[in-house]
Amino acid sequence: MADYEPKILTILCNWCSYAGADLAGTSRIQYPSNIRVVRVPCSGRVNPQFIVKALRDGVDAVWISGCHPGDCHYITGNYFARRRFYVLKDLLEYVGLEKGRIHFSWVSASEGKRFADIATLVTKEVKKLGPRKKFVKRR
Amino acid sequence: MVEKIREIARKLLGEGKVDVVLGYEKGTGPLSERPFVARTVEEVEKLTYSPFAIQNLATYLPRFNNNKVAILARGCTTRAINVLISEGQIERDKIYVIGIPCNGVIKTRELRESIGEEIEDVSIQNGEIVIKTPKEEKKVKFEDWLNISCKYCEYPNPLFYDVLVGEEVKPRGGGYPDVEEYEKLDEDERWEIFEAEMSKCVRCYACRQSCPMCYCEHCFVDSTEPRWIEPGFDKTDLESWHLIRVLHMAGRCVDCGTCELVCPEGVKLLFLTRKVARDLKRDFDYVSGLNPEKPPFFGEFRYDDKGDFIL
Repeated sequence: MADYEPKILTILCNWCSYAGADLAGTSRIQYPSNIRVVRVPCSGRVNPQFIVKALRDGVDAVWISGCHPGDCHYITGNYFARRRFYVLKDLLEYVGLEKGRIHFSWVSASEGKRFADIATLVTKEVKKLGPRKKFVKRR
Repeated sequence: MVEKIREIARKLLGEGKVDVVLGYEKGTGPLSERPFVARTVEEVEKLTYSPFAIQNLATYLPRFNNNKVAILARGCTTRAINVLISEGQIERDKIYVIGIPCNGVIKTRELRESIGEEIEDVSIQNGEIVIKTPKEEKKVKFEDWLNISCKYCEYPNPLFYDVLVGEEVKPRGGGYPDVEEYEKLDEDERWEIFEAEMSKCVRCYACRQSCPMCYCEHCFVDSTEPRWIEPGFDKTDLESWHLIRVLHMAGRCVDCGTCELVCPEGVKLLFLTRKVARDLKRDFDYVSGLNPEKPPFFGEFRYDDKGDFIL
């Protein structure tokens, strides 16, 4: 499984994490190319249904990143998101999906290095888990 | 008890205090009672009540919101009414609550299947269900056939009522031993059980139709753009439907158990909804349906919410 390259759906909030990814890029920081970025206005925009659907459609993992608590552009969006993600993550692990398929993080616009670090960490963990067998729709 | 309910209903309808009375009537055979709307004093004679009346009547309240409605309400029904009020679906002053302290409802479908032959008559005597079949008289323990939610019910008495029928009962011990037991299994075992349960589903949506919280006019499962759930019986579609349904229930589910009780295929659903309820109670100190003034669980937050799972 040495040449296994996972696909990681990455949902970034426009104001912090996406700008953080931008900074990582402009600073020429290296990070794995396994992430596929979707930009959303706020982490509070992310409906848990998105994650369930993405997993079912076959991505190897999902990583969602937003502003640090207190830094949300819309003041409280990420606090609402935090509750939702907590319930979702616990439920999916409870029914038996492997731990480490869903990741959440807070990355601010000035944390380019941190963005690259987390991207590396998430990719490493997902590579260790290998391709997903549970909850993948066969077409 | 049934006579008392009829008497109250007769009085309410006769005096024109309410337009309809939501209750139960005899179903198509013994061991079944179905929801019934009494609109006239004559229809009141059909009303009945027993632990075989499995459905939560709060489901029908949003459909009668222009009328004044009297409703037979157990503990879980009043909690559902609270959630519906907090979500702006119904108004308290249009509802007349006939409170019923509840000792739990029976898994009627499972019981009927376990008997395996025609049932002529059913009665409850001293904590036992006596079932008459053409051949013999079988006795089973009431407690053995209780719905799981009822077994560990903390709110058997109506939280509020305009009139109470019968004596208040002692709550059974709360807790979620069924959830804890499932949690102890390892990851692959859990997935195997989950997959086996969900693949029984035939997508009749009885769980959705009977649920007091599922009042959306357009359910996500019927949406074609985006198509969250595709047609057919692929197990990932069935699993997605049940997972997302449970997520929509988070902080709203009042644990009445109707979804599982009405399922024609016997899919276990409560181990999912009860797991979320357990988490919210343990980690957020949130119990749904206790206070109609409180916003829904996902409609509020606290600065010190659990966040240690976030990198």
